[in-house]
Amino acid sequence: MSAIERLSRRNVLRGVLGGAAITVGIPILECHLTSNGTALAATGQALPPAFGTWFWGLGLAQGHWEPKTTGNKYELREHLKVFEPIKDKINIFSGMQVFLDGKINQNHYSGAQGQATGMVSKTGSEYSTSIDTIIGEQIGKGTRFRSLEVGNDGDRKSSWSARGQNGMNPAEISPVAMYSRIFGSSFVDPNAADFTPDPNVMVRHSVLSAVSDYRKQLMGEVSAIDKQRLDEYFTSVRDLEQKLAVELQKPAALPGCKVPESFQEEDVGALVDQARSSHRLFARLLTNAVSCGQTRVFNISMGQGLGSLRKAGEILTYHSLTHEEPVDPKLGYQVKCARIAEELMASFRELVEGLAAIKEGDKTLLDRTIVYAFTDHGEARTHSMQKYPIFTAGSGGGRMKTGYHINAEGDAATRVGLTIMRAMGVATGSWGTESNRATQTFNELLV
Amino acid sequence: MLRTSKFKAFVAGVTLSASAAFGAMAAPEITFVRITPEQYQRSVHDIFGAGIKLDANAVETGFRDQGLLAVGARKLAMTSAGLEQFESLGQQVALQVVDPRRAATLVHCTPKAADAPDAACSEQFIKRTGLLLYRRPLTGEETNALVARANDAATKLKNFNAGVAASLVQMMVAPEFLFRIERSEPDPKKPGAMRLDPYSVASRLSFFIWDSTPDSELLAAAESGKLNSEKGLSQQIDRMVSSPRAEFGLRAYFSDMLGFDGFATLSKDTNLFPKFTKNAYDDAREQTLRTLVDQLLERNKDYRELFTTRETFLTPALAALYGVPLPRSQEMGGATPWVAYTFPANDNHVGLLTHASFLALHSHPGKSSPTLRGKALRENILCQRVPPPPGNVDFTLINDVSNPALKTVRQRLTAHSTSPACAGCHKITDPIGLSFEKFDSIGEFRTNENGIPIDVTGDLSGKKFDGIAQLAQIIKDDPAVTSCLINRVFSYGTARAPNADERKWLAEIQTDLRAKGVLWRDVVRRVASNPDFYTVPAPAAAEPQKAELQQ
Amino acid sequence: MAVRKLLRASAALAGLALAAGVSTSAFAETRGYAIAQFMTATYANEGNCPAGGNGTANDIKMRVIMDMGYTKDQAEQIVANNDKDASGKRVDVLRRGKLNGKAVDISNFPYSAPDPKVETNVGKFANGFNLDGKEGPNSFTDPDTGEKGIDNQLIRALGCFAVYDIRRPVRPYLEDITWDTNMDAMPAWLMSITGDDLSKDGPITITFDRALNTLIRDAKGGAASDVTFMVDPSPRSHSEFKGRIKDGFIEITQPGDFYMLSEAPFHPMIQLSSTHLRLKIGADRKLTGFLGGYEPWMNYYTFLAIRGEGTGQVNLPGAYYAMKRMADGVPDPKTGENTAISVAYWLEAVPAFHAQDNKTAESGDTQLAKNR
Repeated sequence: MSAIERLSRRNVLRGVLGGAAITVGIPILECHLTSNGTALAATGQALPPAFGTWFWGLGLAQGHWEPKTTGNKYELREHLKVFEPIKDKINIFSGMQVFLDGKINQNHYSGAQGQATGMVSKTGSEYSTSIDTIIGEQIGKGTRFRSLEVGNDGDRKSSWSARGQNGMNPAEISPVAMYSRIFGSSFVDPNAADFTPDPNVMVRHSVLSAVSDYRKQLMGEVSAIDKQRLDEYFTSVRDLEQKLAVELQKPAALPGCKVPESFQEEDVGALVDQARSSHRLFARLLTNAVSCGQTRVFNISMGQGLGSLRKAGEILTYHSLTHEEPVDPKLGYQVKCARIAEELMASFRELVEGLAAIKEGDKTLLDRTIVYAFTDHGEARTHSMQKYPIFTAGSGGGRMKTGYHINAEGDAATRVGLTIMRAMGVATGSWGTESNRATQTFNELLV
Repeated sequence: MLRTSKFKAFVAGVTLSASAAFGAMAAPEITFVRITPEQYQRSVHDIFGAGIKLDANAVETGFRDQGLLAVGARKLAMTSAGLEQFESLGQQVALQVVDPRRAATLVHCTPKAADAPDAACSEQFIKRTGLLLYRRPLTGEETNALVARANDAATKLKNFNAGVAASLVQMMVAPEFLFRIERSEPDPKKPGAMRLDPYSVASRLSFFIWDSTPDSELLAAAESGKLNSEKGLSQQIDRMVSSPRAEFGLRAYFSDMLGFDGFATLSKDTNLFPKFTKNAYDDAREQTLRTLVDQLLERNKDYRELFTTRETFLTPALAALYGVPLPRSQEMGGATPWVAYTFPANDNHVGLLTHASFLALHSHPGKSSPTLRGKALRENILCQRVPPPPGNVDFTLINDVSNPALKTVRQRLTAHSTSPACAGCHKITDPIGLSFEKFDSIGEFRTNENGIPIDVTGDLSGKKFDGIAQLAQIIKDDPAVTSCLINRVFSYGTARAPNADERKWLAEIQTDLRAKGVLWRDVVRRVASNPDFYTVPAPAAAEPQKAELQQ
Repeated sequence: MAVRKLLRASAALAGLALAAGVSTSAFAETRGYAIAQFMTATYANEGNCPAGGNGTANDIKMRVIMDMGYTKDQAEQIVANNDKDASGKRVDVLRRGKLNGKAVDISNFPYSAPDPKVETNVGKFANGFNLDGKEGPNSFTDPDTGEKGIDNQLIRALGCFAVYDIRRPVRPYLEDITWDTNMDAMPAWLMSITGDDLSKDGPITITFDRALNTLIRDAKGGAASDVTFMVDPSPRSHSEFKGRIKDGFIEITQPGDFYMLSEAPFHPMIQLSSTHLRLKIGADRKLTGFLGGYEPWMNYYTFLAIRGEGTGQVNLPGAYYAMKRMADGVPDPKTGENTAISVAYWLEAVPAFHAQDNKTAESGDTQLAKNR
């Protein structure tokens, strides 16, 4: 949406606010349309695509998860057996890497950064716009939330989502708080029969419009280095303005929208069991948020590789364990670590099954979604930047085939991200910088 | 792209520093630093009273730059989730401010009618509150816009107070409030150079010394121009360091320097360490902060003595953790039972580094870590840099407790450090980290590991020691302890690293104070009195953040 | 807090400790403890209750209603219908007693109802002590030590109520919940042992005291070790016994009187005569074992009656008559009727520091201190 369009819609809203505010006669937001212009499912047509990232730390046992054959008739190895019920809904990518181009490996940072942003920075204090933001620009406008980020290990810094260079989006760690943020008093049920815009929301909206208007003046004064940060601040203001604007309109009916029951019980913490329990609650909230049109982009993190996640009763964090647990001489991998990784994979399966469980006509929410799952190291034990396990789930509204194992030995891992962007309709020929710049998509998957 | 923008910024930054070389390029510009959740809360309470209730605001996380979150704050923008939260907090505050029970003292005037706008009355509120929230007087244009907002909302909602609330929310989500905006002006004493304008000076001082917004007196000193004079500035600094609010500033500084944000994600194995409850975490952090306040502010003691003092404060839970008796007259029904306590002369708990806050924060969930402790001591206390470990390291030896030859962590680390790839860094961290080995993962005392008496000998900068008491003495006498404090204090106050010229005068302060006594108030006073403290920053080179050092 | 405190005992202190406030030799060593868990000793076993026992709260209530003349079906309906019968008449289970022609509350007047003759425990095994030095027809055999002649008439009287027909680690429900409530509110119970060398077998002095402060919980919800307790200077809850350490157990050798003030809803007090003790010293420095003696049975009844039949899950008149009938100690000089009943309690204690106000003593050197 261009600035002019945004301005004009706001002016329309203002006009409404100035008068008797009962019916809001503003044009349907462009974001209620898919990129090829079809209208909403309420009218029997395709629902807009959705995108999610799913991050887990510390990879998998290298050499023990990669399917032995490629294509769509492969068999899952023991380490990923848990994917059996969702095998035809996902793709598995093996063999790819993140290039450092001579920079120091910021352990547990550079690899994830490469797959989340397409670039690897010299230091850990630099970051860049992440893939969910790029895709959100294409598919995510007009929803209440630009995107929703959650961290399952009790750490607000677990997310890899960022809008620019100046700080990552904080992860919500409390499912209860997330419930109230999405489905609390400001939530408008798209399937409710009547709708009356809340005059308080109108006032809040006008307050933010006024702050937005201040942008130009302040941008003129600010030093060069701060311009971009200020711009990010004003983008956040506009996001909130947009969220309130959405709340002022009667939402289009959504067939799959079911408001989840509220709950008060949660068990937030760094234990694997706690992370999995948070994930279950968050996964339900996020899938419902997407099916109810509240957002089209979400980011889930099971916890940073270099984080506090650990198994109950284990004296070392999972991270320390990956470095210190001896490799079992018979099995050829670290047994405790492999078991934890498998538990995390089971959480991924739960997310995919949760998306598939939401029926939207003859399709499911998973059918219009793509989830991109990535990790920080190909092998955590040695901080390896090669042979990353990467998964996708869902077909983004029929744009991407599923059920495949693809081995792209030596390619930049960004190729997966670029392929997803293409499926989501992002008009770009490449993604990433230096050796991590991908120009080739996996055409065999694109429909 | 990144490079280009940094380069431009660099040029802009230099023009604003003391260097006159680029004087011709200087133009008034503003920079800004995001305020912390604590500063937000304290500002609200200072402006509207401590009775204002605020939901926890922890959405916006910070990141560490130059060892400090305060420096990282200069690089932070505002995320959507963060702004959403601030808008909601703003609504929360505004509703309380216009609540009839408070409005009498906070709104200052009675509107002509409760259900209609009253421009004169809202203007009064907006001007008065705006000065405090924006930390400078509002411009006429700003005032008019806010009054219009109040009128508009009051009309729509048929409620004067709701109109005032709308204008208040607008101020509270504005960048002027959520960021510390620093405006520069030409420095009359240095033609071509820039300095902060007086209101920005007031903000910088206030957030530095009080961790909060400037009070009316400081804003008045800015308005009258007193802050521009050396004498006026030093009067204000003296007043501020003597104020009880200086405690907030001290707590904020040391929480940052000691990495206490790590407590948010600290997790210990409760089967191994049942004494380490959530209360004990909180107490451990508070023990250190309370000790710092007592030693450095209440009793005006030398910073260096913190490393050897046995004086501290304990709660019953902490005393149990340290395994020491803590008699109290009575506890039943009392407030938080903090008790001044001095560890006996023969006790192993000596100084700040034997507090659970240090020992537990830099350990694994179920075992101690000489490397993490050594690294924390080097980086947080001595301002030395420990490089991250290389890739492709095999750490299995360290955890091989089944090897009969390697019973203690010292033996296992020694085996690990014979690998040339590891030796370089571990030589930096381990010899000092191992001296803490008699304290387990939560700081409880022990004497042996797997039946072998723990060896706590080592050396720091060529000085040999046996045990923590001797190490504490060596640290206390190390000039790096003082220079680290002074440089970090400067970085904390300005949200940037000192440049080469600034390092020179900071070194002079260090030499001077080492002879006279490293007193907290003097450190703050001396650093805040230098004109360089009020220059506008040049961008500093970033350092790795998420890099790790294993074991 | 400059006043110097008496450190009467130290946790984990295996070396030399101070000596003051307790009558011991000049070189005695003292260890302090706080009682972390306290409950009636139970020992469910096959054959204890051949008739099937008295059931849980619901079974007990059903039986009471049926004893009032209703059929089983009617009783079920009454329970389901908030204690109203088919005609809407209230069936007052609580005020089922009759005194001077008036309906009265059976918790306060258990003798106002007839003895329902609840089933009592006829088993062979129970924990406790041989208090009278004899083996009688009612004696148990200790399941852990094999000792015969164990007197524990309390568990005979109550052992067939489902809440007492259990084994550790399951705790008697009423004591479990009320101890847990009191942990955060009730002054802790302290114990200490003093002897010349506590690392060896030998004579010791065992003392019990009440603290002025409460237990502190650890991360698992239990009582934390090594907490400092201020000793209540009042003598009312102070008791002292000659004892010994033998084979890693702490025992009382000269049984005497024990009194510990407590708080409702837990036992309002624990009062014992002919007090016996046997506690194992654990490798983790904690103590576990049994405290027993003769307890005024009305004290135990009072504890049960505080929460009533629903929460306590006993038939109160049934418990009253059974205890009265089976009481075996401290006969009333006038009537000859026994006023006390033999009991055994399970207790767990954690190491603790004890300190007193207003007394001065030097802390002795200790193993812990030597290492500092």
